Amino acid sequence: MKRRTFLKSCCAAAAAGALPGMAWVNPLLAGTRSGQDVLVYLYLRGGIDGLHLVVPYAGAERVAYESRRGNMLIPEERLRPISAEWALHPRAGGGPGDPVSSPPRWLQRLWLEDRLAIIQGAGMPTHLSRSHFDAQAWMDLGTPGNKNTPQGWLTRYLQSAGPLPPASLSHAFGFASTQPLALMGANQAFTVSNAQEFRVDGFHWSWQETNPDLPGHQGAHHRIQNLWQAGNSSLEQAGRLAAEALADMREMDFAAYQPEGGAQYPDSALGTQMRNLAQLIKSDAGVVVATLDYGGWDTHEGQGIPNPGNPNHFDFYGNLVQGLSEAVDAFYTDLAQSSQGNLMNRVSVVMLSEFGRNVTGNQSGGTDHGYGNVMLALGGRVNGGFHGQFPGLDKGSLFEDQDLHTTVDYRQVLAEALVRRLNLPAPALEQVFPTLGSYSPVGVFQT
Amino acid sequence: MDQFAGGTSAVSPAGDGDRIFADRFVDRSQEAQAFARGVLERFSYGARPEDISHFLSLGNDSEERLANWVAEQLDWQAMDDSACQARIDSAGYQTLNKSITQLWADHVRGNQSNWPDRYLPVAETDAARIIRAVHSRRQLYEMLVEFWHDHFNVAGWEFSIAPVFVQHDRDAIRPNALGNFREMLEAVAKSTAMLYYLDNRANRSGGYNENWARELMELHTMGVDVYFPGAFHGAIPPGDDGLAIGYSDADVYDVARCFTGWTVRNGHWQFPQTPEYDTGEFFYHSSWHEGGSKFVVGNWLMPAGQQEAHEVMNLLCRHRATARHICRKLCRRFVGDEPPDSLVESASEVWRDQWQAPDQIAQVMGHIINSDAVLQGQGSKVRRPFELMAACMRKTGGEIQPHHFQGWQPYGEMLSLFQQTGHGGFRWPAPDGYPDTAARWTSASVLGQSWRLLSRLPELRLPNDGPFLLRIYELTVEALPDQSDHTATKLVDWWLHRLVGPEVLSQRRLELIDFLRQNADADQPLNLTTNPPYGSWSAGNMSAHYTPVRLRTMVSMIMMLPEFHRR
Repeated sequence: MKRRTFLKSCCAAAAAGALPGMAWVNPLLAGTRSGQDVLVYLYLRGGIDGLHLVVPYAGAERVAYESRRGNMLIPEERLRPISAEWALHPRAGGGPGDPVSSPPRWLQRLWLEDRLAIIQGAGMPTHLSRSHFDAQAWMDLGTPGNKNTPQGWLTRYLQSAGPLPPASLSHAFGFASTQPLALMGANQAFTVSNAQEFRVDGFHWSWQETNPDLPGHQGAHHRIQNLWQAGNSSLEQAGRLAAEALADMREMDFAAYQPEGGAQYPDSALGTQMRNLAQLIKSDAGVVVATLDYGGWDTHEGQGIPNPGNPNHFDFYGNLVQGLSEAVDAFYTDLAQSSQGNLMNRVSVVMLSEFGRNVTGNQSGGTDHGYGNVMLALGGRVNGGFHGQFPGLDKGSLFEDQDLHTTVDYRQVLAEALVRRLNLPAPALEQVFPTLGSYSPVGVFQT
Repeated sequence: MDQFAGGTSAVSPAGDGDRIFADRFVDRSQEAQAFARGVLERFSYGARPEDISHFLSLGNDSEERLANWVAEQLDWQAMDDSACQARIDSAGYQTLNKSITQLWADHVRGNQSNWPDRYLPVAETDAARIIRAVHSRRQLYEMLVEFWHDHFNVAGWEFSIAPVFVQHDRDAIRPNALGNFREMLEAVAKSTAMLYYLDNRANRSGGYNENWARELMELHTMGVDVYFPGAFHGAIPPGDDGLAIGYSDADVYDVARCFTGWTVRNGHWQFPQTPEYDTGEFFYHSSWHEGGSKFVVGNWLMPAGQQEAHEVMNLLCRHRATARHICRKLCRRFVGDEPPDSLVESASEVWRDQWQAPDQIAQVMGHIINSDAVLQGQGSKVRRPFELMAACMRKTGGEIQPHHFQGWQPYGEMLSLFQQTGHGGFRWPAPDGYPDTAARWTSASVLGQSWRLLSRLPELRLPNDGPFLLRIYELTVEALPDQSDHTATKLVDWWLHRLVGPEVLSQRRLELIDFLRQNADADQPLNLTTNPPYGSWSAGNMSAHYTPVRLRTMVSMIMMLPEFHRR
């Protein structure tokens, strides 16, 4: 059945009035639920300073950290310890006015519940680039060293996934304006920056909709699909997809959505997008993969040192960390405490960045581009705790005498998510990550 | 130029508004018209009938007409643009003529109680660029200005950048957009906005900040294709010009060292605490400059203070990689997403030979536009949202004087809808500037939000039932004064021809006619003149039911056609 015809049959359910904001929950799947796992690829654009997020707290690495970190050093008493030797940036677990001893929130709470995995030494061991744009393109395309790959890694996953449960909307959502590289070439991905405002509604009211009370009257907005119907250029194909996305998503009321479990999404682009994504997942829209971006991490200048307990202290990096932590925590809570059950048991979020930053800060209170980094994963079927191997801050362990090294290929973590959570047969990884070599899972995800 | 599988409809060119040119000899063959339209769609913000007629009057064949048109456009300062300037002058903008010191005094140091004040300089620059795209006669020049803003991107709406953005646009980009790249680079390197955006204002000895140096090499000049990752000087081979063929991280670090001390008079606590150190101007602070020799693209630079950065810029500007990198971007912008390598190569020869010429960029653009690739009608571009919006306004005689902070109707709404397309003016956060390939600009989000904007544009009007921004009704009744011509068929054909030309897939034309006629006969005249601008409600007679609105809606739908999305 065509997606649109299918949807029309759903509109009866909408009229009957289901949950607010979920007007057209797929009646065929409701109750049975597809049970399909979802992978969320959340990219921290700009090169997050992982050493500022997961910080040596005690032991030999702390000693090396103190000797090398320069003016970017965070004193122990300003950190939130999560193990004997490691601590989180305080804003991952509390607001600017919260002392580090205050009850853990957000990422720190999820860590305590064993739902957060921290992968040390992640990056691209096979290739080096300190260029944002090359490193991002390599990672998003899944082909380190090559940015001319025509398709993103998620596109190739969708092509090699085999039969997925039918999607009432789409298997792939890119929460972005311009087409995300990870979904480049995916001819079914819905790329939507703002779901609430994704509708053609500007025509004069007299011709916006068809008026059933006037014989012969035909409105304008649904004709856009007809205008793009013919032709096979890539523009015309893209236009048809956009017109279809508009028509399909018009049925969803994103503004009326009520998060569950007391989840509080921050009032930010990321918060809104994660909220929209949670709604799509609950609505069984067919989401299998989703991409989101959270940028601002290119902190060459004024990166900031936290001063927890002081609400008036400005901390640029800390504000970013809190913005991320609050958003993913709300997303987790909303899905884990859904009336449909713990949906986080089939949702995994991975967070990564193009590179880490130089260990020693510069003279403008910031850090320049580096190499190895941390990567995070979150979900009900994630093995919480540390993974990978910290590459070491002693001189002999540093990369080119200045940066953290890499010990884990980021693709191994993504590959593991595909195999263990999305049930991709391991041999199909050859299509998704053609230059990965052998698959060696890190142990982040449960089967 | 575009081929369509379903064949094309014959659209009557009757009444296309060219009457003023009718007594002049022009080649009106379909081929000549199609070529003129193709060139003008590609190298301007929209081909209007008067632009096509002017183009056709410029010579005896397409090659000659193209050459003359390009020559006219490249000599942009000789083109009288006072009518466009008058529109800007009468819009009431306050910041566009302020010096950097005045911008600093008024919008950085000045009274901050009125919150938009700080953002007026970027807001008014954005407003003026829309007027210019729509009304300037210097169309190619304005497209180059847009290109260089992408190339030397700064996030215009950032707190530190917004109040000084006028300088970046007016003093760094615009004077050099068709001039000399080395001069533009110097001006950009000293632009207060750029010094803030890429942090060079904080780049000082004892711990340089690489941000500007890296993007200078990677994005602004040599390009990442010749980046050899690695933090140590070493094995990048030299080219025949005595320069290393590429650069490494070690080059980036040494370039950063050369630029230490290039900062802003921003009242920094280490500067003398006198007013002349708090003016917002560029300033070389020698005590922040890192001593010692530097090694850049295979050349030793002896300690020379501020001169080191000048020498670095000379090396970069005469480098072959810079020529290739920028010429590929220019060809991508103006020819196609995958431009012919031969054209990139020949353009970069011109670029490099002329690197010290005052009209270097104009020469390169002349080379690109007069090339066989353009003459043969090769290539195709998808309009980015800004070009879409500008084309809508330009082709419908848009009367616009945008203001960001003067209410919702009409400009607040217009600019907000436009921003949702993902192409808002000076809003790209990363230093690589807005992308320039169709694959990035044809996402569901971009197209959906563009259509949302286009669905609204024809309805936008000045407050208190003032005139509409787009002159759709006026153009229609001027061209087709006789009410018997107001049939769905004739109205659709006239507007199709004006907005996209004769090459339209026939089923799309029929869809438009079907909408415009509703349940009336396609050849039955519609009553456009009862109660304009909206028309009157009439349950029983669709030929009179909100017909002026329906006409505008139909024009909106033309603007949403695939044919309108290409240039």
